Amino acid sequence: MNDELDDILKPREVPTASAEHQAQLLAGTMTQLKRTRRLRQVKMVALWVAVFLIGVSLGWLGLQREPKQLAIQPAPQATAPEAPPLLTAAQLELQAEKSDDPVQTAQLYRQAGDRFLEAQDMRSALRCYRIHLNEGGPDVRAVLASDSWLLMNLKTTNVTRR
Amino acid sequence: MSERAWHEQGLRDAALAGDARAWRLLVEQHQDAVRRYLAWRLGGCLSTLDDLAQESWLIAARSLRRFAPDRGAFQHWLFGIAANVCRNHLRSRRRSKQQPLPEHLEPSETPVQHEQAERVAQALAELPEHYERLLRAKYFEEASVECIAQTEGQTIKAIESMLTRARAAFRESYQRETS
Repeated sequence: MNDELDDILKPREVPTASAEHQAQLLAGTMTQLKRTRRLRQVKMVALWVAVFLIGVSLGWLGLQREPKQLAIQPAPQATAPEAPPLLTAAQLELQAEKSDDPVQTAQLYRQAGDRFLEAQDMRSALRCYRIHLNEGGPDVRAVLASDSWLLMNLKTTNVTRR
Repeated sequence: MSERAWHEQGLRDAALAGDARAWRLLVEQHQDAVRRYLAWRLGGCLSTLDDLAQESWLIAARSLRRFAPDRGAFQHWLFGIAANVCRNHLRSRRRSKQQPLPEHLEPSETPVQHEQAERVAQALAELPEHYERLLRAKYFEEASVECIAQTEGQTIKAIESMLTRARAAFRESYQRETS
């Protein structure tokens, strides 16, 4: 039986392909190769376009979505110290008269004197400075750099008189 | 990677990149082998040889990217494609109720020879792949048992035993076709 198989399965003599068949085969397979390559390129381009479009869509959807409402609390405002109302010389003098605290009274008279001096009201300034020196006692009689010329003059005169 | 694999990898990549010369070289190197293999698979029936060879090469061109040189020779990959083409061809012929002889037979073929060739082809097509591979190595490539054992990574004893089973399977299939 092996001999029979040897005969049946032996390699066959095959005529070589004709030049025409060979040319046809080459042309056909070359076209197939080109088509496969082009198809692959198209697929790659399509893939990139799809990825790009998905990215754009996601970005667009993200823009469409309403921004999350954040609970924004107003920043605590710094409480600026209230500026003391700018009082006139007469008002300061009045406050000084109302004040029971001798130190504060002396201070207010001095401020009133400064204001009167700024307003060129020498008589009122002189009056307020004198009360300031009398009410403040020896603590306020020392000459200071911040003293106005009139107050400084009164202090030195007082010292000289003593 | 062997020298053969490097060579075939280079040709494959060049052909895929659109180099016509590389593809032409592959075709010219293996065209005759594919024709001889198809003729063997067809039991010597040559009437459809050109068509099946053309179809095999078209499939090879379409799926060239799938050829992996490190997994086997280009020729064996081509034989695999040709075997499938052959099997599909015979299956479609069998599906049609009438199996008329081809309109033109090769000058050397008689109707009796043609029928016997068809039986051989059908019997080979029905064999499991590993049996077909062994019979191909033994009868078509005329390789020695030692050589087959080396290629398959088996012992000589194992190959002899498998060859016996492959022959028996072929014989059974062939006789079934005859009856």
